[in-house]
Amino acid sequence: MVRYMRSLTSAILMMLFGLIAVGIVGALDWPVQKEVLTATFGENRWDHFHDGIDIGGGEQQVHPSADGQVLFTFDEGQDVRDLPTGLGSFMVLQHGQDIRTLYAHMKRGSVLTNKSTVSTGDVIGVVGDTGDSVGRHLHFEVIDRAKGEIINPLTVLPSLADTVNPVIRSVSIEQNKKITALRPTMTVEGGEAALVVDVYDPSQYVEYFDPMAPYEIEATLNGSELFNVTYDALKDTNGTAYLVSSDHRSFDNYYVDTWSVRLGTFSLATGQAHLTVVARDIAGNETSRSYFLTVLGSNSK
Amino acid sequence: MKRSLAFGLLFTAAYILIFSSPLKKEPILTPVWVQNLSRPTKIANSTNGNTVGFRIGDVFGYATPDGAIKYLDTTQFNVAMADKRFINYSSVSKSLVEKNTAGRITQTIDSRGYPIFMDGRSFVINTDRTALTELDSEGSEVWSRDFGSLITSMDVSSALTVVGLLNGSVVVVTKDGRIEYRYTPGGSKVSVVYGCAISSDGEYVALVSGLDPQKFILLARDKNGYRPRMVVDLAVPVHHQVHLHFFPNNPYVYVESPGAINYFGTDGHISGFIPVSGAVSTISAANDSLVFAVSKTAGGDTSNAGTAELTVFAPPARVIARSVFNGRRFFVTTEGDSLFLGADKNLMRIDYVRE
Repeated sequence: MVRYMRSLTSAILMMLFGLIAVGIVGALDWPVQKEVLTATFGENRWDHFHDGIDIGGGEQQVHPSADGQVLFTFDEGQDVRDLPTGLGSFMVLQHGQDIRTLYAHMKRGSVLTNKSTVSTGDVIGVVGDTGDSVGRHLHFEVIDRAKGEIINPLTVLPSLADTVNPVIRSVSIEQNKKITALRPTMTVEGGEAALVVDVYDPSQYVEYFDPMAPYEIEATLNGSELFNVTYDALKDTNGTAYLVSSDHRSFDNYYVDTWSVRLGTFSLATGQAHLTVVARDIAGNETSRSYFLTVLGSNSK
Repeated sequence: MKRSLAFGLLFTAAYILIFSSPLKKEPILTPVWVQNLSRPTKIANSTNGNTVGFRIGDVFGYATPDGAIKYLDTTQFNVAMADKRFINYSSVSKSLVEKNTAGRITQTIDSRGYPIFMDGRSFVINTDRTALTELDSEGSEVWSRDFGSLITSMDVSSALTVVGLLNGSVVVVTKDGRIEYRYTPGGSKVSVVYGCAISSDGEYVALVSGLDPQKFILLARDKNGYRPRMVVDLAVPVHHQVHLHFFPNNPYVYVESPGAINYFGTDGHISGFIPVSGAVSTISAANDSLVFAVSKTAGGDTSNAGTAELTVFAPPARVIARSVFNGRRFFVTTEGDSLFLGADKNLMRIDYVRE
């Protein structure tokens, strides 16, 4: 019942965030007709967080997410003197005062360059695979200048059907540089520990070579919240990008490997401990793991 | 009346005698050689000697001053070129292979980003184009900085790096990676930097920024960093990277614009434009201040035919020569008293002398 209530609360919070975000952003729509999500916000991109979403669906027209002003265009190969970019042929639009949307990896020569304002009916390009891309897709970003954040587009776009639960492959604790994979019941040493979760969200639509990041990871210890990281927004502080909800966790501090994330450090007190980890996707599908731990006296020096 | 007229004529004659300067000698352009890069007839055997780097669309290489081709290749995704080295790199890569002008590997740098060589300095820009890392000659990191916004443009002097950002700021970074100066121009409804440049002595920073209106801004160094010296609303706004140029021995900054090259004096008082046909695709200045600009006049990537116009002018805007020629991809650079001009598969050397 408690878990049900927590899920319900989480779902309501997500809906609320979405409503607030939509209120801020205005009505954003999917920039393509065939919305095949192939990568999510906050994923591990080797040395940085993925700061948008990727949409597959083959070669198709790209439309503005909302009416707006053309801010910046780049057509790969047009002017060899331009700075190189992995975004390929891209366009940035401005909507109102503060919201900007970015459309990347479009087909060479397809980027609309002869208009200064666009509306949702316009074609601003064609999905391609220019730049640092290993398959045809559109990289889509939403920037909120007022908050100085890059926000998760899935929180402001119309929701997609998704019935597939995230997958938690393992939950581990890291103590004195030693990583211990947790079993449902086991005995562990007490003291300070970092909680590491190996988690991903399978695609609803395609057998994609990489799984995706979830939307939220929550951990509780004996019923009290330990960590709650949502992939809502990235913010840059002093030259480093942080997941806003992660208590200033930079990419280097957060990702342990491709799908393992370090949620934070907590204290394991001697006695019995009930650790729960829940992963949710943006549609509210969730997977949880529970661990009943017998905690021995701390060995730490 | 007669007396005042005579005085006027006398004054004019005296003024001409005392203050006039002789007309500058006009340059005469003399073709020296042409190499067809599809079938080069002269290959350099020696690995030593001076070379001139060239890039014409997807074709790049190094030629000796006498027209021998020392290295010739096509770009993978892009190529970063310096006087004595280059990196030809793919769009998805974990390492950058640096080679000398003979094509021999000199070092391999572990990086997922893309290399940029500017004025003897080496950088790697991340693929999202938000972060910049400067490398030393060994490929080791000197400094690295994520600007938290898309980098729209950059330029360097020997000691400083200027970076223009999509968020509307321009940032001046020192050689050890410290932000020395940050400036966000106001006065436009939309904030964005489209292009930036820094003079070789670091005394001036120029930028094109904003929409509604789009502005040219010249910043001059003072004790607090820089301060605006000149702000001009631009008549024809653009929505892409703008190329600005400071040239040696030339007290003007040149700003490319559709159908024109705008110029602004670093004294903050003089401005004007040189009309050109189409958009500038390559520009270079000689040591004696002559500027050579090639603008594409007709024909696109998919067109078989294309034409371009070479405009030669002396600062700030005295057009000395114009010449139309065929091609779709162009290149121009100067070396001593020689002009190296590329058009599609042809590379030519043209010497110029003042007569």
